[in-house]
Amino acid sequence: MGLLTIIRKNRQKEKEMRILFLGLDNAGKTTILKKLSGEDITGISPTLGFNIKTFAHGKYTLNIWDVGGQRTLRPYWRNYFEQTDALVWVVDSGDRFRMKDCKDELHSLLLEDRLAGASLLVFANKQDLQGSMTESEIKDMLDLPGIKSHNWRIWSCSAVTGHNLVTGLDWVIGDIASRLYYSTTVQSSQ
Amino acid sequence: MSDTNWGFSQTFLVDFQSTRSDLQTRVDALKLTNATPAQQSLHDLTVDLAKLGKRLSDATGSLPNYDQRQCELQIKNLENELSALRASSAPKSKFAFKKKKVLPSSTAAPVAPEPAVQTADISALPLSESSSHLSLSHQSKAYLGWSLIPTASSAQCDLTISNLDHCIVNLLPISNGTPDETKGTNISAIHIYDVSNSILLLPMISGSVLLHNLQNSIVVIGCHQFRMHTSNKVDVYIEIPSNPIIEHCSGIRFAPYPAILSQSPTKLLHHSSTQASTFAVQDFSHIRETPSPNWTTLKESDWTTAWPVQTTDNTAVVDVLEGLCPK
Repeated sequence: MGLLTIIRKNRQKEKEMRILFLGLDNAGKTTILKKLSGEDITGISPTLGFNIKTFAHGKYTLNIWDVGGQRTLRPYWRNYFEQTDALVWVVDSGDRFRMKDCKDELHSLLLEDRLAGASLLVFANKQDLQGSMTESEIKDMLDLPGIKSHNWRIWSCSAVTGHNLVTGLDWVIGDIASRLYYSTTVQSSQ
Repeated sequence: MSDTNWGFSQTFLVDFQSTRSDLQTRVDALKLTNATPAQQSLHDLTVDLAKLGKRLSDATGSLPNYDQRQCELQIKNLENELSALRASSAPKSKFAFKKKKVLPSSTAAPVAPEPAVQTADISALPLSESSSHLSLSHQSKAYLGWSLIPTASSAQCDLTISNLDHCIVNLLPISNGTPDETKGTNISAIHIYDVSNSILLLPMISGSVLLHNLQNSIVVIGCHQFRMHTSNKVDVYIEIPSNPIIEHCSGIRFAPYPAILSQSPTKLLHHSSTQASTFAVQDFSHIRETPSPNWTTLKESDWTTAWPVQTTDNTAVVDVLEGLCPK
């Protein structure tokens, strides 16, 4: 039995995925998470520290880490990189003012060794606001096509209405699964 | 610790120290030359240092904790010296990250991206998309109202208020006594920065407010989330369903949104504005058990009552501000 086989067998047993939610402050990370788990989203305060949510989605268990995006907290993001299967980058589509900041932070994350190989899902959040930037505008402003190091995909969504949240999550789970549980996805498709 | 690990850590440490002292010599040599150090040698040093850091992080787990920490410290010192050198060599105007110093990495230090590439990318971005973006900026000693803001389309948009000194901004939905519901309802977020000695009377909005660099001012606002950065001596009259946060601030005083200003029938937020003035403000620069010294609740007897809701001429503005603004 090769090492790779052992690793795969081990992961099959667990079927766990670790997903890291990051983004600038006021992007709506916590709101997306609360909406996904069906909690009240009206009184959410800016995150001091982090939130962890674990829920079953399909046949996988998702461990979602949502770390605050305030500038003082950003240096601590690195403490959460280990073992991350996917990075979900949440963008406030109404915030044209800080798109450059947003782009710089994202691209510096992608240089991280410990995030190498993780799938990248970009959520263009707050699409319920009229006049917010479209998915393709954000794609260009964040220079997503320039990303060669990660498998990426952008979805427009709204944490308030719940639009596309599950769709986006499904994509990221599928992407992780095809990488980690290759053997099972191949088997199931046969 | 097993013998193999021990052997490994011995060889590693000897090797590490020799590389480190070599780097140190090179850094010192650069420091001694009075002329500005050549970019090439700086770059080489950065790369070599990053390599050393990488080797150290690879060895994590095989080294005794104490040695690991010592090595990390030494690398950090070298990094600091190098960045000081780099700062002295590069002309200021060329390129500088506005971001505060990133916490020193305990693992491999990523080599900084080439500045030239960065700037090129930035200039290619369409930054000033002003189509759905209102702004109010660069004013002093003036009374500013809705009339100064171009009539917005029905689309929701951000509002930016910046670079004001000695101004009164009145964007309340009441104009001269008559409520006007249409004002303010289409604002999704408000960014406020570089405002001093001013009073900002803002409506209830459903989005967030982000404030930077306010001095000696009063802000009246109703919002979903409130984030204030690098400000001091500001009185905040606020209606908010979540916890306001402050970061690098001092002398901030909180009070409830004045009932007299929220008379309009526009949708009130999630709970009554006559709430007790208990604020659970979170201070991100004071993450401890003890109460933050950077903010207090404003005593009811100190609440401002004479709100300058009527348009006044520019000389009167200064007098009004003189009497109201926190000093």
